[in-house]
Amino acid sequence: MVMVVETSALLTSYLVAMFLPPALGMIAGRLSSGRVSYLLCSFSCIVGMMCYPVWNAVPGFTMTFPLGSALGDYAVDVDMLTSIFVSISSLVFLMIVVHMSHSGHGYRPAMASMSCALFVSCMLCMMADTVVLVLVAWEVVSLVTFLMGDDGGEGGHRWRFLVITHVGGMMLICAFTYMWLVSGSQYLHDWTGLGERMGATASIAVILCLFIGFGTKLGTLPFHVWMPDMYSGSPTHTSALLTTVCSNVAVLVLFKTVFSCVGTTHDMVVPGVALCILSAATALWGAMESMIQREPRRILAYSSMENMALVTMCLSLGLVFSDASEGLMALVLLAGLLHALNHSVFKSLMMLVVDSVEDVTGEGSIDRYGGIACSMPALSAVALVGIASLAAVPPMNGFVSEWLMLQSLLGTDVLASDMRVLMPLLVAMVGVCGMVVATSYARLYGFTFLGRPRSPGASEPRAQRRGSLVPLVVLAASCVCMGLFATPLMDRMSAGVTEAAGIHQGYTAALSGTMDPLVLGLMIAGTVAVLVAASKVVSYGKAVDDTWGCGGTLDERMQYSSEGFSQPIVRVFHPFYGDTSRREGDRYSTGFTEPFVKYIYAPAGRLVMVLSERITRIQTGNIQSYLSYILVTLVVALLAVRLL
Amino acid sequence: MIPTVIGILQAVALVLVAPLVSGIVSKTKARMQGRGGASVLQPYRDIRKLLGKDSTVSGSTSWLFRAVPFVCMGSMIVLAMMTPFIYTGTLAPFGDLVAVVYLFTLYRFSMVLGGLEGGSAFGGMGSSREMMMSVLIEPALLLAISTLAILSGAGTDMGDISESLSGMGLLAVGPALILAGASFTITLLAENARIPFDNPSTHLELTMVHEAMLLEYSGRGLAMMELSSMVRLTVFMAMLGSMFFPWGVATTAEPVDILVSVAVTSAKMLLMTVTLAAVESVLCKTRLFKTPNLLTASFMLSLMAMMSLYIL
Amino acid sequence: MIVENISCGRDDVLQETTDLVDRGYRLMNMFADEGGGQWMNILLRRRDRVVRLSYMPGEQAVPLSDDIPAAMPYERLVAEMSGIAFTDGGREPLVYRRSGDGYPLQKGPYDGSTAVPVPIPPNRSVGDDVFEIPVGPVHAGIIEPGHFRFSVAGETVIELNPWLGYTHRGVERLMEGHLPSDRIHLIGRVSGDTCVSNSVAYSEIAESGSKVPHRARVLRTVLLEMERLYNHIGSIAGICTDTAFTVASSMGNGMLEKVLRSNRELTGHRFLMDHVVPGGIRRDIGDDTLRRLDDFLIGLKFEVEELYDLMDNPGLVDRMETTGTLSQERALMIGAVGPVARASGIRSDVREEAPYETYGELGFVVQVRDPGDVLSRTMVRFGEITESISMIHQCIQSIQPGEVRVRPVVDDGFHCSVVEAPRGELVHSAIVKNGRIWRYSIRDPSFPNWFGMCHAVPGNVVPDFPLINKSFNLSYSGNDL
Repeated sequence: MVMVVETSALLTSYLVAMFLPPALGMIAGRLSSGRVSYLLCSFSCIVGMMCYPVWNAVPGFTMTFPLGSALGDYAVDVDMLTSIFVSISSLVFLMIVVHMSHSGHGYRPAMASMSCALFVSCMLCMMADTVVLVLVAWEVVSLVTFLMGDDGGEGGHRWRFLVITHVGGMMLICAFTYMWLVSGSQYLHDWTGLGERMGATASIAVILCLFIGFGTKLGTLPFHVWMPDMYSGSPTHTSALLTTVCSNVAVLVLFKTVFSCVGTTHDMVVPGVALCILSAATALWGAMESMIQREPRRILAYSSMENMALVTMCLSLGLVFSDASEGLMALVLLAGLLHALNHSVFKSLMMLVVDSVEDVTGEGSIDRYGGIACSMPALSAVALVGIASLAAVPPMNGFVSEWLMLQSLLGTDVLASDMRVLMPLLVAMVGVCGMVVATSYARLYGFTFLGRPRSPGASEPRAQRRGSLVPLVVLAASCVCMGLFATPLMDRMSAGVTEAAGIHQGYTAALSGTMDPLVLGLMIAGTVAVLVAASKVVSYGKAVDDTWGCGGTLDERMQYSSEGFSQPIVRVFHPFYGDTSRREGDRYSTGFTEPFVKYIYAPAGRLVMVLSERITRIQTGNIQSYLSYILVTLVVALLAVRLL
Repeated sequence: MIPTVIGILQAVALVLVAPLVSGIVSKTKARMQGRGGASVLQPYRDIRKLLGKDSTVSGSTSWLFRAVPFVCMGSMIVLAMMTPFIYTGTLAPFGDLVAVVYLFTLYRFSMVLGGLEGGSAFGGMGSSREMMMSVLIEPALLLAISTLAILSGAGTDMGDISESLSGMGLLAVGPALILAGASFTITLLAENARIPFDNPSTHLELTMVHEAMLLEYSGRGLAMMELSSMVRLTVFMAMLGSMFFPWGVATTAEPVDILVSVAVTSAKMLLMTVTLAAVESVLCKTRLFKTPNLLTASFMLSLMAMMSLYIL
Repeated sequence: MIVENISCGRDDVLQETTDLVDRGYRLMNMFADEGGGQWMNILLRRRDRVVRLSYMPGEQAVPLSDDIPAAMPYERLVAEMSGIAFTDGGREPLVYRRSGDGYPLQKGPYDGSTAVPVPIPPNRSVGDDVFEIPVGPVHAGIIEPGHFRFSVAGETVIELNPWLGYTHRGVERLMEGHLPSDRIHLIGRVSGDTCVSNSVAYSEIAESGSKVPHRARVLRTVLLEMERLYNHIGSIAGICTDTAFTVASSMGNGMLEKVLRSNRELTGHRFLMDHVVPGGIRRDIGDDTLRRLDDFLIGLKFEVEELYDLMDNPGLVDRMETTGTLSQERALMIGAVGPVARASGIRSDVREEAPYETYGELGFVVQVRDPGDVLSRTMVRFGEITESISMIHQCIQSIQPGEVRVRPVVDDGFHCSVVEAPRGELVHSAIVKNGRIWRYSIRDPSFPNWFGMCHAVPGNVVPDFPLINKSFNLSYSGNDL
């Protein structure tokens, strides 16, 4: 009894520490231009980071908030996986907020309040145990990011985001409401194995709704069109939060509802394959598109699309493997969830790097950067860690999750699956995707940091703000640590996954190969260190000269352009990209249009415009016609009631 | 403990023998052209010469430029430790075939970044062409080696694959192995910048792929870049000889086995070098934008190899 | 060769020139000379009829390049060398590319050491993604110096401009004031691998007043064809080297070496230098030597066929086909000459149109191919190798004993000679005053052909450029003078 009291007291104080300061921060937005809110938010982030230790210490991390509501209760329930997600997301959130408060953008004080609101809603959404809380928190996340996307401009990107995300939101509401009706309980923890009760067709429909609904936020085809515009049009920190923490929320809630609430049955294999193919297509699309973008933020937007598609691919493979082997299922789910977490760390790092680069140079396109590694070696080193993680280069964290992904595709248990023929194709897809995005990242890094400066801003960058490098260093260190110490992290997450999805086997059962990221990392670092040490033994002369220009001097026109760098691949995949270059006299230009915008969204938008013009015609302004409209409506309504 | 020591020793042997392999290829090519050619030891002399030289670096390069040769060489040495060459007990438990493929990515990624340093047109040219080819090379490589993993049923550790395949004897020879081997051979040529993909001995900057990325390197940096590309060729040959056709490779650390394996592996390596030289002599460099056709063929071969295992 | 001198007024020159062009004459050279003021000389040729159109430009010369695009390079050269201004504005320097006090080809003292280089202008193509690749003048291989500037946005070449002039030595100025028979050593070194052709063209001017013995003429023909032979074999071997087709490349280079050794046996010099002199040839070549040459060439013919079979390789043919196409229309526009023009389907060969030495007595087929890509240029060269071997054989069969050298005599006035060098139509023209050279002008075949590259390369990818360059096989020093 005493224990229980203590536990609940601890929990209460923990949750209060986590949610009260940002709640106050929302109100205190304008105080000392938002500094108070930033501080309160940062404090809560630190509290959030302790979620995993707290979960470890407290058995049964559940609580119902004493808030009445007509629709139901507000309750939280934290399991092992959620606590890991909350901890890492809080870390990422903290770093972004710290960087935001140091940034030179002169954000409106409202940004500080809104980041408090975003923190609360994201964390609540992850922890939520009731339908109402999930849906409300999810909606608040969307609205707050919409508001934070305001950069003072026209804001078309925000509205596109809002519309698409609400299409997804509607699907989620349908899915959740249906499950609520079938289960008869508003508590998510009561929904375990709901798939049995809903029947095959209904559960497939629910799962598709969930995947697509959360997919709108994760950039699943064809709902990805908001991403590049939103990421490049919004303040960088908004984009950073959106692509990391919000994506984590979507992935976690999707995982929990699909695998722990609906559960998996044999019927899930076919929709799983369909979703898997959709995700694979999304990943390829994102990879290909990211390679031809000029703005770093658009490159990162498409790269998020690719990474998130790999995550949803893993989750849908979880459905596919459900009839083959539990170990394989655990492995592939772990790969997906770990990749989501890794992605949030390295992507936030890259977003902040991009922000710093934009800040110091005052330019927004990789064609205007260059040579920053010479003037800012520390920033370039940190960025290299992020890029290496993104490109899945060992021993960074991105590599570990891709390794897991490939392991799950190559595992011997695959032979038990009816869909095993799919696996070589997926291996090929992951390979191609990996190299295309690696090209994209080499391009991003090479044209930003290496070479000679391409603009005045890049040749004489402004000094960075003091302390703005600290969050970057922390995130880079996390990338390295999550890579090197991936094994303990994987073990803990795997326990969480098996617990949540009701799997009885750990991921190690399905592994067909071994890899020790720590030893591998040490081997690479050790060899390089030995080589460096050996080269120090005998010193030798070093001369500095100009870059070789074939007997002449190189001017600013004589450096490879980023478009030129990607042109060979564009040419190889010509059917995909279409005609990109145009020539008018001596003027040569390249341009890409997103086919989804051109062939789907733009016609759809025009159709809506035409329809709304038609509808305005009935607005005659004549009182008689309005009365007749009322009459017609009344008659139709009465008839409907009578007949049904 | 003993297997680990032998694993490290064979990695050292692989690195040491790499210049000799290049030397034999050059010598054979020269003989096929009716020339005397330089001694097979010439690559050693070149490397020694470069190591003794001062280096000149461009003023517009950063710290990364100087780090790249170390990373390239380091990743190749680590790779050598994981590749079964004479003995199947490698350090592979610390990194399986997936890790190996990603180590190639590390090598390539750093070389490409090194090419973008300096800010001349040539480096960018080499880097962009390298990336174009690797988009198709790397998946083919992954699929080809993965096929072996599935064929052998020994998991994805390279040493185990080699051991298990050599234990299977002639049973292993089937469509999957032959398709994967064919694909891997094309990958070997492409990955190592050989004719018809690239010309390792050209002086024409505009046609280069691999060499264009190294243009700004000199002295010690160049020595390491050159040596690492020689090691890469030897690692590929070792994979072809000791994983795709592993018969004769020592699966235990018994001295007799090791001695037999040294003899067999040397014969295999010699055969492969001479074949490589012959292939390079009868082919000419293809057009840059026809290389993807050949690479796609390699990609499809490896895909078919793996599919055949799942379907048949 | 019939030379017709026409003088006309400044206002009529455009009409006169276009009339001549309409009647089938093709622009051959343009140069300025001073004789009571600046004179512009325009040389045109139709088969064996040469017209020299001269006029006094006065303040500003009449631009012809609007109607005859091939005239542009000559106008640029005349502007920078002789200081001629044109009514439609300045001309970008082409070869000398320095500006100093006065102009190098104007009479009177000229100090080149004070001249400052004119910077190379950027290419015309613009765009965010377009960048320039500068190549040269220092190359990785052992070739002559030249600067090429590509505009690209990736691999496809959008624009190419060659900038030469790094081997400018002032040959034309060095010729002036000397006895016409004195400068054979200088002429032989204008372009090392075109030594015989240059020497023959020069000698024809310097010996125009005397009758050269028939044996000397036959031997000159042999030497001219030997020169073509080694140039073409070298060029084909170069194509194999650039495509990394190593075995064929070694075979071609081996053949080249054999031909060079046989050159040494013939004349004592591997590149046949200084054997042709005004008035004949320096030393007779014995009949034994000629017979050995004939035997050697029979063997060589088989080797050439073997090389041809080796190069009939799908990979190599794929590399050459459709690469670097110079259409017939473009080739006519820029006034391309020699194998380059013949590969674009233009039947133009001085040996046939205006036979010199003993070409009129020989039977041969002019090699014409389509459509002007690397493959057709290579095929033209293969065809010409066979023809050369046959021509040398005919010469050796028909040669008669006799004198090989007479004293050269030349009259005052304008002289012109046209020779089909290995690279095409080579034009020498001289104005002799008081028994001394007053003005000497050389038009190397590479001069117009370099502009063929500007048309043949765009649209191809960067790595194909060295191959296209090799298939044109142009001379830098002949162009730069």
